[in-house]
Amino acid sequence: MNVLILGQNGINGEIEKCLTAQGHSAAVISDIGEIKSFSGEAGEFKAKTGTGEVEAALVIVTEPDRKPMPDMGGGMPASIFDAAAMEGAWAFKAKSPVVILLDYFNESPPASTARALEEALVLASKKASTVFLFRFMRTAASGSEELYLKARNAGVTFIKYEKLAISYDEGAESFDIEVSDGVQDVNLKTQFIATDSGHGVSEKFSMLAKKLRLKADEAGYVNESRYFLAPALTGRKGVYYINPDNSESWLQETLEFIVSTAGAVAKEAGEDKNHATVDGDKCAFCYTCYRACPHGAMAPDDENRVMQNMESACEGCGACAAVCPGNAIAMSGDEFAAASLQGKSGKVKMFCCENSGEIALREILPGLGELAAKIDCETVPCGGRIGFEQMSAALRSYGKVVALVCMDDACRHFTGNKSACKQAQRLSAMLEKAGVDKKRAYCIKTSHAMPNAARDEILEVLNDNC
Amino acid sequence: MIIAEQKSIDEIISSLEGFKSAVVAACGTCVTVCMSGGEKEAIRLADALEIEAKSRGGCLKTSVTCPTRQCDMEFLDENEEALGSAECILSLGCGAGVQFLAEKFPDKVVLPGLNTEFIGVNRDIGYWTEMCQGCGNCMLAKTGGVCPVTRCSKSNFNGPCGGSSSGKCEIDPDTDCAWQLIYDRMKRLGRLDELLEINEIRDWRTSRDGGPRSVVREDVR
Amino acid sequence: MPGDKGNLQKILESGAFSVSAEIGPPMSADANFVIKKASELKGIIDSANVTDNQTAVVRMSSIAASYLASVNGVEPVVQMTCRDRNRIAIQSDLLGAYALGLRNLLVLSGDHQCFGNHPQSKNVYDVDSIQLLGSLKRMKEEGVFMGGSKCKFPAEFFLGATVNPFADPEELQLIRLRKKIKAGAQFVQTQAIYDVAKFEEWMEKVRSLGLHKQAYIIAGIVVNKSLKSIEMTQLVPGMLVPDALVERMRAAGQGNYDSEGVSIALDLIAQLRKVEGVSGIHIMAIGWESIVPTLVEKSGFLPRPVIE
Repeated sequence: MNVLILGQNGINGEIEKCLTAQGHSAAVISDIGEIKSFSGEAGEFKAKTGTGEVEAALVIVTEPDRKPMPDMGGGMPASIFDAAAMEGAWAFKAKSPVVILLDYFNESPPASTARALEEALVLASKKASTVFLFRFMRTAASGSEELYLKARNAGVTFIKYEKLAISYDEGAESFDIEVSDGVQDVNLKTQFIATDSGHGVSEKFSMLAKKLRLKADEAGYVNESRYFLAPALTGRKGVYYINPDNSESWLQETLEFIVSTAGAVAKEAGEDKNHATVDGDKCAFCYTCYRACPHGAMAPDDENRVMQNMESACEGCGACAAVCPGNAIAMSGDEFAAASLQGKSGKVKMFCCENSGEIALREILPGLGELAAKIDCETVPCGGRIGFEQMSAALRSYGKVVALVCMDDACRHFTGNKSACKQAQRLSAMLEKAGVDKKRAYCIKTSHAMPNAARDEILEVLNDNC
Repeated sequence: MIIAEQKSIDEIISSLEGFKSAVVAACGTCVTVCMSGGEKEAIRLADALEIEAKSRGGCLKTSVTCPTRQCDMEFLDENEEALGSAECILSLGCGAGVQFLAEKFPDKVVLPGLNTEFIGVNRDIGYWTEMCQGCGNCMLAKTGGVCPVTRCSKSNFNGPCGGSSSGKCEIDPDTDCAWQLIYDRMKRLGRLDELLEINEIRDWRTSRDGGPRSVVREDVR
Repeated sequence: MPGDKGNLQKILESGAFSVSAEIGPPMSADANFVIKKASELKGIIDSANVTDNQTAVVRMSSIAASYLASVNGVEPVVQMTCRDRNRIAIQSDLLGAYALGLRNLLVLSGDHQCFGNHPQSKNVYDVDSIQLLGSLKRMKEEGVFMGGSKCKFPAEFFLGATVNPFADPEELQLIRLRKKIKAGAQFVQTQAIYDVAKFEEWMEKVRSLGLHKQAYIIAGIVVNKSLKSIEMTQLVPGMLVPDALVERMRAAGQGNYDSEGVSIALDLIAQLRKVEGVSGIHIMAIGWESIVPTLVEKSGFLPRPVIE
């Protein structure tokens, strides 16, 4: 099996060695700008370069996906992930404030945000004067909001800025920082800046991501916390990402992982599983599914002028079917049409996503007592599969309809949970406009790990008469 | 492609006042792709209308049919039975579709379910922008492939007005100034000097100002 | 008499430095409003721009108000935007204006109607400002209408256009200015200037293209009465107000804003009249027209020359 390694990175040799030791072969394209086009799916990717074509079963991206840090004017910032450096930080407290910098144009990644807030809190509790600079901080992740409030109460100064300039005074061994929020300028002097290494997606990487059709979420194109997404750490099956900043043990683990899944991908390609099929007669060849698929599994069949599903890349989430304007896509194992909808007016229809909803509901069902009988559960591969049609059709006979989906960041298919919520909101808005004031469509986010988190919300829906 | 948007449900409901049954006619071409008048939207709308009628204690029977195109009579003929099966037809086609249905069914009320917006492009899922006004005398060769008739709020032919600022139009900071786009393109193409040529006052007869237009091509008739 | 020249044109052609201001017509049919303003400015300025439904707010027509001004001692500059009239209406109105003895015409695109009190209206833009200048020049020189037919007594306006020296991209704006002059603009009024240094740089480019010899460049200035007004002006897209001027206003302190505003305007006028290629000054005293005589007098522009 051939593996394509993309990017300029010192660990390329390491990966090659590991793969060849396992009897695989590897091709390296270090200048990712050379790639003219990229097609195919896991097991049979094809990358065209100026000089020829490379075929590969898997792709490993090693190109750094982050922009370099802001110019520190020659000074060296510490990493918020470096415990020893942070421990030493409060030694500076007497001389100048400690500055924690979160420089993201888009929402800062959850891990960095949480870490930065934790450190700010520790510093403040040690009575170090702490200034927290951020451009766009994400506090939505669990716990971050609380950390933020705690840090504020502990005396951390938070400054949201638009412009940032840092220069380093070697004589005084201190940084001069100028930040402006567009209205007011603030000047700071400090001997200690702590920041994280990641600073937004680099342009080069995002070009590659476009060619590889990787989907970005709030954290960027690659999200290490998406461990459960294996074997597609980039959201696209067969495309891996190894962050050169990561520790050696992580690299080793990833390599082993890639080797073991190399075979699995090939095997899976031949298996029958849940996937999308396109009705060529209905397909308008409009590319909407192509744009919507989080796994890069829809591709044009140029010969027949229809879109086609690349089965081995398809994760079966149904986002394509939900979004297809022409209703041309069906999911194998889709039971929406077959479900009987008669005489259910007092009941609640629950569309539960496989990843979280179904598991969570199974856990809490025994504790619901009689109310459990009101629930009519239907499992769907992902919240993204729950279209407006299914929800509104259910309301024709059911009293209420609920989409029970993953928490944010937990959706295997990136944004399926959000899509379900949007559909529920649209349905509610439409009902309200049509003069049906009673709320009948809901979207509840839950987690397979903490099923009870959404219990109260579900109870509320069930208790309220339909 | 023609871009259209569904009318507000209130407006549709009030236009259906007094009817006991309606066929919601989708159209399988442009408006399907722009997610406003395809079969899916038709089913969705039909559902909503029935639920609304029920909630008021009334009754509206709806059915849905989807001709491939409402702007070709053959497809309307193909769907004649389904289209004619109710008191009125609610067309989710563009303005052309609504009118062609009215021609097809002279004795039936045909109502529009969409507002036809413009000829445009699909920029992303759920995002379309206007590109062409069908003015009948294309000048894109002179403007670097960016249409000032359509994309300049004042249809300026000879450069930006005084309201252009930082590349944006005065009417709204999210709207690009077409002349900035033209300038950028022409500069990139090394053809900036062509912009010095004055585009003379134009003949709007080729546009809708000359009255309803038709194209007759004897060579293909 | 057809063919005779207006005061503004005579002044500029004589090489004298022109001084003009604005008369904004009322949002009503009140003739006295215009008459009063004209009487205040009589003998003080060479001409007054009479705006055409400025910011797309409905006002007394520029031509009617211009006529009222002219019979009350102030030579008007009629404004005509391309927003509200098609070529039939524009030409018809302009023939009428010329017949009433009005001689100066400033052609503009016009603010988009979304800014005014009739955002629901349909706009016209049958011709754009450069096309309008071009066809009026052709009417003057060849005696033809836009449609091509002959016009026995054509309107022969002294044609003007506007330019913003600070709009971007500069290269494109200069192309547009060249086109305006080529199309027929004989005088060009600039957007309000606060940043004289920047304006100097721009004039350098204008001079290197020889444009100041092909059309009279008239520098526009705005007089601010309050700190708020200069701060707001700074926020207007395409207006370049140096922070130092805002600071200067602020430093003057409450109660002195109006006198500081006048002092800033006087400084600007003094600097602008020295810029090579500038043929006149145009004072926009928005909402503070009564200050114009003071400014003109203190700048030493009085008495205004009379050219036969």
